Amino acid sequence: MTRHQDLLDSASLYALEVLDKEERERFESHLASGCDECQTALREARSVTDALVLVLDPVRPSKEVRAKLFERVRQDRGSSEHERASKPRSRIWIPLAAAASLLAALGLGLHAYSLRQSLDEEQQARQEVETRFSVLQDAVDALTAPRTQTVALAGQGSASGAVAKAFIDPDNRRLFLYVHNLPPLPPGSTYQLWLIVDGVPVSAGVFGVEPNGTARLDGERIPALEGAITVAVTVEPAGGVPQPTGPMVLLGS
Amino acid sequence: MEALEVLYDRYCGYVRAIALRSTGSPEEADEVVQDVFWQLWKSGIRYDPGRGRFSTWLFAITRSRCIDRLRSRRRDSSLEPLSLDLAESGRRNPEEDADLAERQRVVLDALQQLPVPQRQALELGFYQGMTHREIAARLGEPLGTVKSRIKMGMDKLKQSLWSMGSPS
Repeated sequence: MTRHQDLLDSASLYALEVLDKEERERFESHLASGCDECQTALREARSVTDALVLVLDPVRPSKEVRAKLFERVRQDRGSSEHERASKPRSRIWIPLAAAASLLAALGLGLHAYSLRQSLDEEQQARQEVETRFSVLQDAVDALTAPRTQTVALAGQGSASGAVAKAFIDPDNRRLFLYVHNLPPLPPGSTYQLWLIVDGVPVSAGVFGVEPNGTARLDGERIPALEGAITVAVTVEPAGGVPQPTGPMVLLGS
Repeated sequence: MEALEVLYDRYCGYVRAIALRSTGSPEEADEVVQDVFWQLWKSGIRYDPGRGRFSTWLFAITRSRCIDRLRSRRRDSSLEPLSLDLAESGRRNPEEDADLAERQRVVLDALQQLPVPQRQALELGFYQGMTHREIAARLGEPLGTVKSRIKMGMDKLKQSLWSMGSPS
C-alpha cells in the first residue's frame, strides 16, 4: 500500500519524467482518482520543468526542415478535405470550417498585433475552437444516429432552476450532456452523472460547471444500455464515487 | 495551417534546442521538430487548455519524444553531465525579447543556487532523459538519495522561481 505522502512526493519525479513505468502508472492512477493535492503538486512541478526549457537558447531548424514539414501538412490537409468532401456530412462541416477560418483569421489578426504577449492565448483559443468543432461534429453524429435517445433533465432541490439535455447513442455507447443554470460547486466536490437502468445507477463521468452555470460532458464508452433510461446528476466528493451518495440536482427519463 | 505556421515559427527554436540538448544530434533534433509539430497538426485538438499552458504541453511532448529516442537507443556513453555550460548558454542569448531574456536569467539564477548534486541529478533527468535508476547508477548513489535530491532540487527551484517572480 503506497502512502499518500509517497505519491505526493512523486509529483516532481513524474513531471521530470524520471519515474519507471510502474511508478508512473501508479501515480497516474492516483491522479485519475481525483486527488486535488497531487494535481496541484504536479501543476507546480510542471511550471518548474517548463521554466527549465528557458535556459536553452532557441536553435532554429533549417528552412528545409520547415519546408518539409509544411509540405507534408499541405498534403495531409488536401487528403483530409477530400475525405470530408466525400462524406454526406460535409454540408454540416462546410459552415463550421468557414466559421473556423474566420475565427482563426481573427485570432491571427490579434496575434499580429501583439505576438509575444498573446501567442499562448491565441493558440489556446484556436485549440478551443477546434475542440468545440470536433465535439460538435461528434454530437451531430450522435444526434443523427438511428437509435439515439434524448433525455430532458429538470433541476431538483437547491438547483431547481437548472435544466439539461442528454443525448445517448447506445450503438456507439456515446453520451452528450448539456447543462444550464447549475451553480458552480466549492473545491473538493464535483457533479457526477448517473445512468440508471432497472434501478441500478452506473457512473457516466464527473464534471464541473462554468461560472455562468453551463457545462458539457462528453461521455465515451458508456455502459451498454437497452430500454428506458433514467439520467441523474448528484453532488459528490471530488473525483466521484462508485455509487451516488450526495443530493440529486438533475433528473430525467 | 496558418496558425500552425505561427506556432512553428514561435516555438521551433525551443523544440529543437530541447531535442539537441537531449539527443546531441542535429539530425535527430530536426526529426524531433518534425515529429512534434506533425503531432500538433494531427492531434492538436487533444490539447486541453484547462490543464496548463500551451508551451508546457508542447515542451512536454518534445521531451517525451526525446526520451523515447534516448531510452530506445540506450546510448549511455554519450551522456555527459551538462552542469554550468547552461549558464554560458544563457549569456549567449541573442533574443531581442527582453522579457524572455529576463525570464531566462531568473531560471539560470535559480539553477545556480542549487547545490551541485541536486542540479546534476535534475540535469541528467531533464536534459538527458535518464530515469532515476539510471541517474543513480550513473552517479553511483543509492536510488533513495537520488530521488531525494531531485525532489529537493525541484522544490528549491520552485521556491526560487516564485520568489523571483515566477518566470513561467
